[in-house]
Amino acid sequence: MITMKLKTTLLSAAFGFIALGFPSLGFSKAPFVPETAPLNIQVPPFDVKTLTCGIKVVFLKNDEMPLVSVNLLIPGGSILDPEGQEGLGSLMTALLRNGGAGDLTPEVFDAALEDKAVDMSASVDKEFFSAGFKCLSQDLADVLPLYADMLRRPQFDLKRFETDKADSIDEVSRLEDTPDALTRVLFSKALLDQSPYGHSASPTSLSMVKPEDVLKFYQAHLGPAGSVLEVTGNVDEAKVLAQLESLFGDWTAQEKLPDNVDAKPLGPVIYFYPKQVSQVFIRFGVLGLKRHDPQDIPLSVANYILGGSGFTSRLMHQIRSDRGLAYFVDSVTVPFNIRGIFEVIGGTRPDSVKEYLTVMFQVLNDFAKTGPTESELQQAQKSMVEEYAYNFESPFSLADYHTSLVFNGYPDDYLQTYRDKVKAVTQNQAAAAASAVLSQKNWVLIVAGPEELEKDLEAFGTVHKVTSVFDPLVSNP
Amino acid sequence: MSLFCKRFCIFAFIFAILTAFLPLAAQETTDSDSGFNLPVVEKVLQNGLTVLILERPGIPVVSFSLMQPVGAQDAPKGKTGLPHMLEHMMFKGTETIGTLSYAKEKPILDEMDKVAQETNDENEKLQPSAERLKALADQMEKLEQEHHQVVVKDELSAIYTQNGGQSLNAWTSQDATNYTITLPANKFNLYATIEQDRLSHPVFREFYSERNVVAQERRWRTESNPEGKLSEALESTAFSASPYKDPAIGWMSDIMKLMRPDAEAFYHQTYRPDQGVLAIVGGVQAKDIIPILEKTLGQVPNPTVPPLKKNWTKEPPQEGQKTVHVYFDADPMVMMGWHMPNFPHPDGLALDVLSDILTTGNTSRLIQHLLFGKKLVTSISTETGFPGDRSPNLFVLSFNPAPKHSADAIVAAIDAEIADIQTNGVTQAELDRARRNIESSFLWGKISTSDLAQDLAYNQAVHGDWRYVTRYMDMVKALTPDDIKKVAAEYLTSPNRTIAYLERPAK
Repeated sequence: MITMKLKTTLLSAAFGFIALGFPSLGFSKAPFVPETAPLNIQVPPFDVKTLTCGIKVVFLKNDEMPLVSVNLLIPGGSILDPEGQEGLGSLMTALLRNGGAGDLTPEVFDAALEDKAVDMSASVDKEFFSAGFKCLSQDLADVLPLYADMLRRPQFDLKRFETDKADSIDEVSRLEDTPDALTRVLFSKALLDQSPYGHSASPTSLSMVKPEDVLKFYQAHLGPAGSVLEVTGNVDEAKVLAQLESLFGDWTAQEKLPDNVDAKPLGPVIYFYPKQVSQVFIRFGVLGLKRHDPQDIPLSVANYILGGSGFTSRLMHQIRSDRGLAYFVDSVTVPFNIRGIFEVIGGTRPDSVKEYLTVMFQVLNDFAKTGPTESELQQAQKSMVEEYAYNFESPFSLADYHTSLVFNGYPDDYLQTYRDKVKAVTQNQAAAAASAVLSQKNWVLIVAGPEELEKDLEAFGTVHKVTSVFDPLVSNP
Repeated sequence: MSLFCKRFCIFAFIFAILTAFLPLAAQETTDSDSGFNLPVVEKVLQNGLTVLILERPGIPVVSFSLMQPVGAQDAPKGKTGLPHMLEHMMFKGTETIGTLSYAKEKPILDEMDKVAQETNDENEKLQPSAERLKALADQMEKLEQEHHQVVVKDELSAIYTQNGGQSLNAWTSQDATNYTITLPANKFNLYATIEQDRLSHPVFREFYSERNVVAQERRWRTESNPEGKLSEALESTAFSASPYKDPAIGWMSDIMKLMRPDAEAFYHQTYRPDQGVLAIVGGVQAKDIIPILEKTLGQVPNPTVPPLKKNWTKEPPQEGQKTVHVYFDADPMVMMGWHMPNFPHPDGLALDVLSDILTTGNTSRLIQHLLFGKKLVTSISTETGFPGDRSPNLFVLSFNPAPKHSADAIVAAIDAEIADIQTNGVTQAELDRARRNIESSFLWGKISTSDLAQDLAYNQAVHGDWRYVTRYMDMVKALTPDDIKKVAAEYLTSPNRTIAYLERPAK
């Protein structure tokens, strides 16, 4: 089999010299790749310090460019939004940046930053708040006090509140404009039911937010406890540390975070949102793993094989390459502090939805039953180990990644030991992780597409039609 | 393989010292008048392929951008989307990659071409025979099953992926086609070898099933997406003669009748080493890799057929405002475009700066006045060089109206803002701020090896000189507030404008 020889040769290219002896086909010769030396990657020295208030500061000095990036991760996030005021966290972070700070009105604060081309922002994710900036290193000492003002002395200007609130409501109401966005909302609601992780903002919930709610939310939830600050680039660490201590050292801790229990998916169920589009959007999912679950890396490897590796994944092969049923289909595994999500995302044209879903379920069922083959496992491990170098493309992306590891409580040597952990995954471990996740019966399937699809979907389970992503979902009896 | 129509020169602005990239042992560096230099090694291989190398010592990866100055606007009549389809086909392998036996495969591929041609011919008839079309479809399916026995799916991608390849991708814009990948730095040989094979012996297998994938891409990006629909309507309305009037992905009816022999012919006409550019940025040394490049990519022959002659129709001056209404089940959006000259016309640079003054940051005029001030819009942005930058193009302004405000009232408010600039100009402070934004964006954009590789390749392939990457800031620095006032008055006029409205259909 010529293919096997060719593959073996090319895939071994990085490791050693292999002389080729291909039979002539009368066409071109197979490419020959000479030996290359193994790559020696050193994790650069991160320096971690702790401010008096408890904030961990992760420094990565790099003088290649006259640039600095600073970012603070604070535990909390949109899961803290009060019921009936979903979207409050997002609105608060928008206003943190736009609403003025310290003694500066919004307009003066904006000008102070933009005159120096400082890109400062704040945002919210499910489990954390984030606030940071990028600037030229020569401006760092002047920008840090503005940053501290934003985080510790925000003005939450009333006029800006009205604008940000109106913009947020408009943005949320536009979620129903595209199949991608609307299925994302429905997926979260259906899979992460009975948990704040599944909540999402609506025009109504945002309209309930008053200025005093923003202030109260800010005071309760933004603070140094559990927070990690990343400082990367062309900096004098001692000077920056001293300035950070003077700006943040006396920041008092925020409220303790509530405990959360795992979500309870509404599945097995199909939610169908009729929308007159020519490309149907499809999301399938089950609960994934909790962060630090021992099966975390085996599941990552299994997911890589199933749908996480682009063209080489099983789903892509079966759905796109073999049948032309989709432009893209992939799968992701996202851990949370409670059980996270495992999701398959794709789209197809309306008349091939049945075939797409049949193939997708078949691939998932096969994988749940038998897991990856030995050869798939080896190839995935090799790819994941080789891809590791990509984390080091720039000091800034590396520091972002490392800081998120520190923030989420991963061991200090995670980066150093990651490749060995991937290599150590056995076929049985990958299969067990895939089976544990994919064998769950309470899956959810979210579809947005033309009205007439509803009857096609009935072949796969109980279908509930949804007319607004903001309404509560009907559950199975 | 994404269809990516971003304008790279927009990011190709520089002001800072890049000497930190270390001195090189080789050929060429450049200086801008501001004293900034980018130590790029420039080498033309024996077959004419231009190679640009920027060493980044200590970075364990290397990024590649292989750019051909051929894009969607070069598509033959009735074959819109062919350059993009060709881009997809370049991932299908070679005579030895992606197949168990090309000798067995070739006759099947030839037979598929015949069936596809007969299908096209039947569809062109005034009254196509459903029976005949069904028979042809069955025949094609049978051939595909036969072909399935000899094909090795996505083997080219698998080779790269298993060697740590990231961002294996490509895009086709109106002006250029680009192939990217980032690999561990010790995989340079692998890249050079595979790409030599890919360019010398490509096989466009699975062409007709891939047409369906491209059709899915079009449905997803354009037809099921309000922004995609609106921007396509703006292009096809604003341009009446320029090839920019056709979408880069192609019209659906053209996509579904594209033929493999057309792609092969187009490939030989346009993918010429002596017109291509390969930019390499990362942890490699020029002195080590140039000999390897000569032995590999330098050996790719130039086709014997004459190259495609560029023959783009020029857009005549627009003499009255045009409008178009697009109906889609979504909240309203508006895009408007004014015709503008292409890079490196000085007026184009002044319009780049005007774009920044209008909508970049909270202090910009339209954000400050229309979003925070009058609360007429919930978002507003501008861009230049749409949908390409090699021919005269558009200055585009997009906004989402705030609820209860009519699009026309907002257009009137925008007109008043523009009139103010046309009459009173902009301040030196505004100009300085815009310039600093542009400088900063460039520096941050240059952190990534892959972005920088694309900047270099784009400027060389599309604008003829990678040095624009360093010269752009000198050109911007030379602008005065009067230059900004002048272009606002000359280009941002009502007769020169097209407005595209997205509206929800009446129930």
